[in-house]
Amino acid sequence: MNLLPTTFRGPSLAAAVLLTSAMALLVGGSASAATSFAPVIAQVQPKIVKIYGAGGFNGMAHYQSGFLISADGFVLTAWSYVLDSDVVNVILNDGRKFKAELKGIDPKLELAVLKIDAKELPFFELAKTATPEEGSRVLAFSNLFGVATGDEAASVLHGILSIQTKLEARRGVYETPYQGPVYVVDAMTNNPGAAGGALTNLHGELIAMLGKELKNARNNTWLNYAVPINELREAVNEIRAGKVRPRADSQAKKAKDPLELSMLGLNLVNTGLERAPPFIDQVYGDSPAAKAGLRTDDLIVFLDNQLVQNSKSLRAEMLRIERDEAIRLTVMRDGQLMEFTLQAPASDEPRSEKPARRSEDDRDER
Amino acid sequence: MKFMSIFLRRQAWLLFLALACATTDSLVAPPRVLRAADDEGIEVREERAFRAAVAKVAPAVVRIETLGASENVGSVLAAMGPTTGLVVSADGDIITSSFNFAQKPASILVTLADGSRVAAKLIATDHSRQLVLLKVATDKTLTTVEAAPQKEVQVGQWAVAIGRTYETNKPNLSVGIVSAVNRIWGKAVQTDAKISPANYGGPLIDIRGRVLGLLTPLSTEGGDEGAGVEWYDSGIGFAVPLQQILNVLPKLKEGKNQFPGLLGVSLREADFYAEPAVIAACQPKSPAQQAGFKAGDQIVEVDGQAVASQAQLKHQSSHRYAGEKINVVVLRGKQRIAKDLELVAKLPAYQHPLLGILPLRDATSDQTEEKSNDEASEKASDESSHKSAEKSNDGEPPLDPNEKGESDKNAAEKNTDDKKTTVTASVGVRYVYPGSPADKAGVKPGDRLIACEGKKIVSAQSLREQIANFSPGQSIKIEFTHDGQTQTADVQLGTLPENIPLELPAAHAAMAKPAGLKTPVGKVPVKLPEFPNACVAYVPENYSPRVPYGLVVWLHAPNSYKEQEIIDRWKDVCARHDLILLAPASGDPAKWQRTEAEFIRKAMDDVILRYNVDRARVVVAGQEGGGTLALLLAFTQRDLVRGVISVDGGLTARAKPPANDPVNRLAIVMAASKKASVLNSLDTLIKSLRELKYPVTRLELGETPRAMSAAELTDIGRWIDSLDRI
Repeated sequence: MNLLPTTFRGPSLAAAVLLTSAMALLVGGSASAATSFAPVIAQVQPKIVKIYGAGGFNGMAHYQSGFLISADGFVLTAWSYVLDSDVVNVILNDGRKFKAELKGIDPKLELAVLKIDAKELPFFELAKTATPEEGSRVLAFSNLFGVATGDEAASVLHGILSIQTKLEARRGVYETPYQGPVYVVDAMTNNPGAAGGALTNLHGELIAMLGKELKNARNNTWLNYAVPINELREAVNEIRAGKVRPRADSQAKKAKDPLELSMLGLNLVNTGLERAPPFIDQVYGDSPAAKAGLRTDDLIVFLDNQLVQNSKSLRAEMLRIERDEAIRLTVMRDGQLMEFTLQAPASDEPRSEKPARRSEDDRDER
Repeated sequence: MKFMSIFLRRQAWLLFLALACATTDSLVAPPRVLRAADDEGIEVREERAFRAAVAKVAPAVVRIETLGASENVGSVLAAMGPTTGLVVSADGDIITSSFNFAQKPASILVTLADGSRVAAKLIATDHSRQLVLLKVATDKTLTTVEAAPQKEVQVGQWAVAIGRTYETNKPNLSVGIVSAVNRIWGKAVQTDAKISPANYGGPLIDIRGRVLGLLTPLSTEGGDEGAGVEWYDSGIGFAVPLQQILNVLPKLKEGKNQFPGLLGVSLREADFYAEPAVIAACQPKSPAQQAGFKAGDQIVEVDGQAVASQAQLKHQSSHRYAGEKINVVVLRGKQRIAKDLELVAKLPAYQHPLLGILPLRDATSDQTEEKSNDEASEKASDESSHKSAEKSNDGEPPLDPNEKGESDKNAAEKNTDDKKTTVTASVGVRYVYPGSPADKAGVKPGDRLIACEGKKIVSAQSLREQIANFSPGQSIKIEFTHDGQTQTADVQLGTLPENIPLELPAAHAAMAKPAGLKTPVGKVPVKLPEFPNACVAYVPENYSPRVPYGLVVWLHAPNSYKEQEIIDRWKDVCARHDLILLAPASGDPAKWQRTEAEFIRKAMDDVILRYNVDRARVVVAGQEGGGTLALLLAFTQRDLVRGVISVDGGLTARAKPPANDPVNRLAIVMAASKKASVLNSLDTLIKSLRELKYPVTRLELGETPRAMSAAELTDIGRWIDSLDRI
């Protein structure tokens, strides 16, 4: 595994000397370039904590990571079985050990807030966070694999931000209750014990909380991701204010009154096989499908931005769409891709007022 | 890691110098540069360079999704998710990794960088570099990329890997360095950037946004789509240089699939690094054979590049495509022979020929046999054949069966001289296969084969090697003695039999156990310090080092390792057929791990070191999971395993039988009961093995899976005993 020593050594001494002296020559000694990550890391490490709780059997780690978010001992970490214990201990960077109180959780965001009885601690201000771009260098602080023991500081990994994406964009691919924006990192950050750690930029500014180990079901690869603080801030503040967070259901979202293909005036070739390709069988006259120009034998390949593998997955995807929403179907006809936008006619039943079309983002947040 | 940071910073330093020079040249430092130096570290400017580089190629990086792929069961990494492709021509040629196309998708959908979707057609596949050429029909003029000149690529320089799999509107990137160039036989650059299905098919670029190569999983052992995937995100990733792709692009555009180019020679040594590269056999109808190369020729040059070892030959040839012409120089004796030949995509499956006899294993020819193994590496050159001739003062003839011309004549004369004093320069006939070429030629048990194609026969092993250069159906001239009379006959070679001889005469005269023999016999523990596995060997009580023994490894079925039981079952067979049994236990009693193959191999080597083992009769056998591992061992340990027996065991999805090989013979027994779970896949497997021209013996084992009966083991014993057939 890619374990780095706790203090990340930046450039070699020689290179650093060369660099600073050269810069001194050229720009008149005003060089303040960050030639090493060491000062930043030294400033971040005291805010990182190690957390010990339940687990330790069946190869499940009984530890994870967290970070301080107030001077008086609030700790933000990932919600996991580790915290499901009568005694949860928080070890500070200086080795001091505290029994932690679980202040609240948000299972959907997979976060938990702990409180230890301490004062004047260094901490990250949740209000002040950074938003990196793809390609930006990031530092990941965590106690992955529990390597840091006793008084030892957490491990630091260095990588770059691969992409900011959304977990929900690949529905059914990731087994996680959290559906929202994530930062994907090109370092092996998400390992046992790393969940709840901090992702910062090169200035030590907090960006995101490291997620759990997560596998992409489509290709069995591991995803190294962190959840932006922007997504967590509100929930954390509510927990700190003593508000009870509603327990979100982790079930996949379903439409109240889902759209059906027949409402659009088409049906699929019925082969009796769920994995059959979704070829259009009939298009009814004067229907939205007919008006849009869909034809028999068109093969549906995309529903909005979602690739449609077969009839079954098309139907599953349809269940997420409300009857009054417009949809975009991409079909293949004679080897060419064609795109059509369709909307079912208003139903006769009285309905609550809703905007005719919501953006994908809105839909997922409902 | 430390090295990396030093190196990277050095490069950044150069960048900085360039900037600095610009400012000093003008004597007035532009404020922007000053500011950069003031409040931005090199890290920040490097980040900006990454982004600029990515932005430069991003318009040519497309997303690829496939539909209607056949289900892939059991594969580690099923390629279902989106992958990435790279535009290589403005009118819609897209190169991608073949990783996503193993399942032959019905439809291919490409999302271009501008978000528009187009259907794509698969035009051709490059099986040498695991790439696929797609074509999209579009009116747009697509953005293409600049290739980084291959000569300029240096180990340690920045490398940024790009995919378009998480989002359609922007690429994902990972950053690393070039770890090596000319990897995978010169077909790839290696990087420590994270390479996985998230960016297979995408470009690896330098910090200036020039394309170093196309990311695709590759493996040094070759293999098909997906070989090398196990290295994903490991710090080992490969990219095929864009220049190489552009070179082959015209052919791919014509729809011509590209294949690795094959020469058709088998080399003499199992050791990959062995020097020199000596041909052990040229496959019939191969380019090498058609060029007139012969067993014993030493390959010394390929396209003007000196070849000193077997490894160098592989370096010189493995990156080439079928259809490429190469110039090969061989040394035959003192003669240099240069030939131009055209590499081919596929060699006709090699099939071993059969004369139709089993050789006697009298003590003398047994020693010869051993020697021929030991000295195989020396056989090639003139000098060494003299050496062996000298060694043959103790009554053994020289070894080289393949020499021709002047030196050959000398050797033959020597043989004749030797023959006056000894009779061992021949192979005694133990058994004649009914209806075989030898039978038709009138060869009878007790006869001695003395010459083949005018060359004196010196040992069973050398005769086997010699006739391996012929194909079934070809006629060869043999000379043998019958009742003291020398006879000659032209025989048309047959194929290796799949049936088991019903009865076998003794292979050698009764041999008393030498007095005072210290070698342990009976149940002998085999302990390898580096492995935790239990392992025991059974050596027949009357073991004599003058008798060559077969070696059979028994890989038990899950949860059925009972040492004494296994020995009791095999004991009689071992005694009757001169067999040593090796019975290792799996680490987890319930299942064999693929990785335990290494332990088994070492245990086999250990037994071979301590006992007189006949290399022609080394067999791995196993039941259920043990059978699966036995097949795997047989397919990977070609230099050692001559027979494999799988009882109710099938082949794992990713294991693929290798091509048949003239030097390393392999015979297969597939035994299955009617209710075995592998039964369904068994016929397909046997069919594919027979297509590769392996002799496959099929045994029916009754209704339900069980241990083999005494009668069945007796058959197996005779099968193993007959593996030294010629």
